[in-house]
Amino acid sequence: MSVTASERIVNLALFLASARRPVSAQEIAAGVAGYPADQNAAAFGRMFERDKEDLRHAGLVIEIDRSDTVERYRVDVDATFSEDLKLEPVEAVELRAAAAAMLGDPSFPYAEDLRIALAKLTAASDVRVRASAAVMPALSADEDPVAQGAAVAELTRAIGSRKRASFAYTGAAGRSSQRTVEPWGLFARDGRWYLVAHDPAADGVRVFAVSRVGELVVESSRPKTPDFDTPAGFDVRTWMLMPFQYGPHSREATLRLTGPAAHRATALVAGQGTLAADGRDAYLWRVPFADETLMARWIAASGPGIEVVAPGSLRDSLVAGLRKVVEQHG
Amino acid sequence: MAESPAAARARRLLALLPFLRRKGLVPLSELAAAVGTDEATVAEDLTVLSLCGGDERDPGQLIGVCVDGDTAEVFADLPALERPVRLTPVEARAVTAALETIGLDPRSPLLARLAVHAQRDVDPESVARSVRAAFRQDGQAAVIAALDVASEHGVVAVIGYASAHSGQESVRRVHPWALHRWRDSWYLVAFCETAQEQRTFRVDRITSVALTHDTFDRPEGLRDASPLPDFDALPRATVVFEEDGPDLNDRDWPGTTFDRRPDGSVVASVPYAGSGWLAGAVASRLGSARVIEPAHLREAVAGAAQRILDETARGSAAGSKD
Repeated sequence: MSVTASERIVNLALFLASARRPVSAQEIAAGVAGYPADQNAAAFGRMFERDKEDLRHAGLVIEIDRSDTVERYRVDVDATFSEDLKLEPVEAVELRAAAAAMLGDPSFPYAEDLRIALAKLTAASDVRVRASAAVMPALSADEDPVAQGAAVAELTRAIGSRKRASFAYTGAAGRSSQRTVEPWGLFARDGRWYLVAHDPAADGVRVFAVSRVGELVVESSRPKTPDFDTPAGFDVRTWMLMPFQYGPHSREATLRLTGPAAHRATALVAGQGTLAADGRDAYLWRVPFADETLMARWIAASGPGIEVVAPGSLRDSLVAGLRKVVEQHG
Repeated sequence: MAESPAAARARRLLALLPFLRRKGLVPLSELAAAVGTDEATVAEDLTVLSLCGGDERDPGQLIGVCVDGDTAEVFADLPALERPVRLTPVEARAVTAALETIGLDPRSPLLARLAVHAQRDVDPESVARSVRAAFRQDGQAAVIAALDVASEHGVVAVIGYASAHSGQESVRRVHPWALHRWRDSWYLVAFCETAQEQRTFRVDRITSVALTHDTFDRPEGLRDASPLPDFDALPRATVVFEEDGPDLNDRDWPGTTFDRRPDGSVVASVPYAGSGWLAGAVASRLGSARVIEPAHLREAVAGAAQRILDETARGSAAGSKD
């Protein structure tokens, strides 16, 4: 009976992990079921390299012993295996809630990695992580979720290996253009994934909506050699701007958050600006803004509990706009 | 490059091994839950594993497992790999991203412990700098966990809820039925004893959860429950927008039909469940949108705008005293 590729990979893992001493390629070829007996050395070598790569991807750390004329291989036990994991009951619930929501989310890019990670954590912990009864599959990105999830998974690999990505991008005006960019980071906001990338043709950093990306191709030549360097201090969080922050000229607003707005302050400010406690139940939020109208609208939509401390012009636009609303509906 | 199907399956098979470290019977359902698949897939995977072994020349090294109905029997010690394997960098990133979406506090000891459980070259801070699956929403994870537990045990919960429209905080007795994440937000679908009807609550507006000693029965068929209402069953309002814009679309105004007029204005027919959401949405256009009918909604819009004006006046009065 022939041995499938996945069986051969498992066999190799068991062979390496049960060996009492480092083993040579020759011993592996003889002892591991699945390597064809009539295979030449070069073909075996290629197959063995790929299998080792797959084992690394599964988490096995394979050491190479070069102390002799032939290379020998063994599993690095300390680097591969984990200690037991102690989970508090509430943490087990948090994990299962996150898992129930995201494993079923067609737009979540890392479902398979999450599945394996949870299996490993469950195996290592004394708490049984059961399926959640209440949590439904999430829909984080609602437009063409499967395509967005797949593109984000592909772009995440490009970010990790620092390889260029090419795609057709449909701009806001509906026109499509071909881009080749250096992907630096990804973030999700209000149901959409965004790519932050350096665009050499435009000589700047651009934010692309992943739902408008088509025909994505990541540079596949020399996969282990990076095409570019991501700047050392790059942090995708600084690019997660709010709608009123896009524009050429930026000013600072100071808002006071009280009551319900204070309660959900970290969610409201979404990592932008600086948030400081102001008394016991309030915060002062200093935040850059570029579009006063959009900022005033955001305040009206996100309250109650948001007061404009400065600038005066922002408070004036908010008040004037609201008076107009009252008049129109009186 | 994405992993090949054979490699993906091998990774899943290897993740199953530590669950077979003790001899005896294991229900397939338990194994399926542990590795996040269904029982049929686990049964197939175990059959494949029963053909695997450490050394081809030694039949004693085969994995001793067989499937009988809905149970797996482990009848021999594993030849190796009985201990759980550390998380790889991509696996650590997947868990971090999933926990971000429920708003786990970044200082949570759970994240620190997961980092210990990962390979040594995993740096959580560098992961956070390149991929963010959600914004921080401190405290939300605890609320979700409490509601999940209440739902599982069918226990009535008392929640504090800050209304988006009035700013008033109310205390409600609810039967937590389902939790949904949709776009950036979590919603609780529940029967509200206070209102005596099914209600949807935004989780980030829930200020507290306390479990009671009373119980309830969860209704069937909740897997299809959606946070979006059935628009056909809802009343509609007529709203005029002064000018067209990219935000006048079905995504930002679910269920709405838009009639674009020659003078550049847009007349919209907007379904609404409660007047609060629509009143807030129109008021926050700051004059570029107005409700034509119904009359009670016009009053609600004026009221919403007046409340923010009053708040602004109070804020400036308080500020001027300093």
